[in-house]
Amino acid sequence: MDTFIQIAINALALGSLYALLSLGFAVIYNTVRIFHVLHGAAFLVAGYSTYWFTKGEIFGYSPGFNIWVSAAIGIVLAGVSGIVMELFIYRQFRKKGAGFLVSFLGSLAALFFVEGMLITVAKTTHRMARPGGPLPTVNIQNEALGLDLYFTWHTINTIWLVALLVVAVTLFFKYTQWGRMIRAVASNPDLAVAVGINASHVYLLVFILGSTLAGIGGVVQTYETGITPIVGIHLAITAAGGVIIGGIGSLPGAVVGGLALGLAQTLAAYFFGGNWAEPAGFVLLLLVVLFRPYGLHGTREHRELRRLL
Amino acid sequence: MQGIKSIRYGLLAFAAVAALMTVVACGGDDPTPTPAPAAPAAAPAPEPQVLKVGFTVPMSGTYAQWGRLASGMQCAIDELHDSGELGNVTMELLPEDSKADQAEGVTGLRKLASLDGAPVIMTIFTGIGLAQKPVADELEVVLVSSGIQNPKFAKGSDWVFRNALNTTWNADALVRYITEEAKEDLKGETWAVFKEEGNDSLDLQIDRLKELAAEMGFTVAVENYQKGDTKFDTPITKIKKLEPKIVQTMALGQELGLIFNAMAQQGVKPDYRLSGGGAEGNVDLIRIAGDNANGIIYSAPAYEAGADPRTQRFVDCYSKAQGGDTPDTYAASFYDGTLFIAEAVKSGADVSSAADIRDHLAKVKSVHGVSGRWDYTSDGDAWAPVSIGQVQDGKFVKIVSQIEPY
Repeated sequence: MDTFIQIAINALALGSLYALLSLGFAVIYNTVRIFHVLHGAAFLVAGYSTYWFTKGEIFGYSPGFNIWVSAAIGIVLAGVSGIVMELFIYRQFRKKGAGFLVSFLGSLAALFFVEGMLITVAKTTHRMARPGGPLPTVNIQNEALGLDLYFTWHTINTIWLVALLVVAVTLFFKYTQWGRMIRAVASNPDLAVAVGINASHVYLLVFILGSTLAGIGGVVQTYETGITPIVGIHLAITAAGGVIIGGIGSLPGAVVGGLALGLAQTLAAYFFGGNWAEPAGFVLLLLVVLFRPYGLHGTREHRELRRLL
Repeated sequence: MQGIKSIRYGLLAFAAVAALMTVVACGGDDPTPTPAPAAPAAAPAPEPQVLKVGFTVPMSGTYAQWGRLASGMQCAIDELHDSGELGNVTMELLPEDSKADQAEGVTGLRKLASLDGAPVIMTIFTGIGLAQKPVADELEVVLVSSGIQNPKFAKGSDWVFRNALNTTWNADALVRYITEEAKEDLKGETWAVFKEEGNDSLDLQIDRLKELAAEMGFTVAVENYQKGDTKFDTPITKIKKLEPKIVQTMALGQELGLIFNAMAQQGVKPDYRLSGGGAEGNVDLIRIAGDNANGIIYSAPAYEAGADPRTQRFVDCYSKAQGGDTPDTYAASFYDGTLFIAEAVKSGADVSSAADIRDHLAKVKSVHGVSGRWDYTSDGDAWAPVSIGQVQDGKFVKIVSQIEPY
């Protein structure tokens, strides 16, 4: 019994991180229609910033900030990186009339550039934004129920934080003016512009929002298990996978997709071994694309939306 | 008439006197002694020669810390030069970043052999070495490793030599430590292992552990992970159910510390936490696991800093190169591997000929290095004693200096 619960907690913890990344990816993709692999860069910016301001050195100076301060700085910088991505990369692509493939390749090139710069500056040594050692844990024991559960406070905090962010993003899109404007541009950019919505401002906002979500993921991971420069592409593909599994065009779908990925990887690790976790995610992606191409949470309407892309 | 004759006689007398004076001037004593005949020309000093030794080693990526081994080799080279043991030969170390990747390792070997002209190349990591082996055969260069513990590495090729522990000895050493030193009875117990997927060398260690388990009546449970993984929660949940007496990780990089942390986070508290190779000197282990690293037991080549003057010189040299860090057993192995290569020079090999170096190395019987004595077999393999260590207060401490395989 406790093994089952433990596995469920493991899956939820992993799935929550993936859901957060997928949500950020979906926020950007649904509006801008770019396969934004550079999403991984926002994760890296936040993670490394958190490390540097907490434990690292910046130009010979060790800030040694409190983890909360460093995390806040990291998240803000992730949002700023979104602005940079939109203004200096994607807006330039749009001006030049670049198509989907060129934009994707450009995004990929930019991500590799960011990773290369980080390797040069920070080397590839694993960086963790906290002192070494296990995280504080909670132990729930009940002999009658045969329970002996262990989980870290970090896991619990990650799960409720992601839940809160999903609710916040949902409410933002549903009840705020900016949310409605983003939905309008996502639905029909030409009509939205025709009614006076400034599409450029909307694009900037979605990049800030999406990159901030990715940045929060970067902080969470860097604190828990650390970060290296080469995880950017891996996480970007994971985020994209979650969006496709959940259903392109659907924000709740992105969350569902991320959670499904976490569950698939956890179950594969349990039943077949840790080395099968990652392949399992791709098997799930393949199955969804083959048998439910509009995603687990996608609908026919979203399938139509996909066809327009 | 009388007058003409007088003049004639006078001229003749003058000529005779002049000739006599000339003979005296040329043949008489000279204030400057005539130099003695020159001695035969001395044999010309031998032309200085350079033996280029390539080294494919990770210098970036998750395993960048292994780049420190180049310092171990350079210290050996400096010692050999200072002692004059190599005569007119200078060894030049050429490190090349393998990025812990097979393709990069092979590319590095090709560059060192073909472009840099290195007849001897040192390497590390089983997967990379095994990928490089056929290329070394193709390019006809000598390939040596002081870090590959897989005995298959040296087999089947005249060009390949191994100067490292046999991976299976790690299993022997740890089992002997647990059963003989710690006096534990393993019958009926579970020995859980976390192993990097696709690592041949570690598979051999697992096979040997299972052999010993079958003989002694304990069970080996293996969980695989992929290189670069950071999440180990679920495999540990699985292991926890087995209530293992012993948990061993076979990891070389950041995974080592992350696995031990994840174990503590899930309340997995075996009687023994072990590492078979890869722990000693692993600074990531201490950095990531912190105090949780204390108590971890590991096997490693037998090497003790300060045991003799040469070892102490090695420690001093390495520490200077590595910002105060003391060398671990792997650095010592690569120091000894350099001594092994130098044996070819000392026995008169033509350092420009990889084939000649190979032939001379094949005749080396033993080398006394800082790790102790290495004995070499006719097929390019080696034997050296194993030790057991433990992490204590964040330091790697030897607790059994030598333990032999079964």
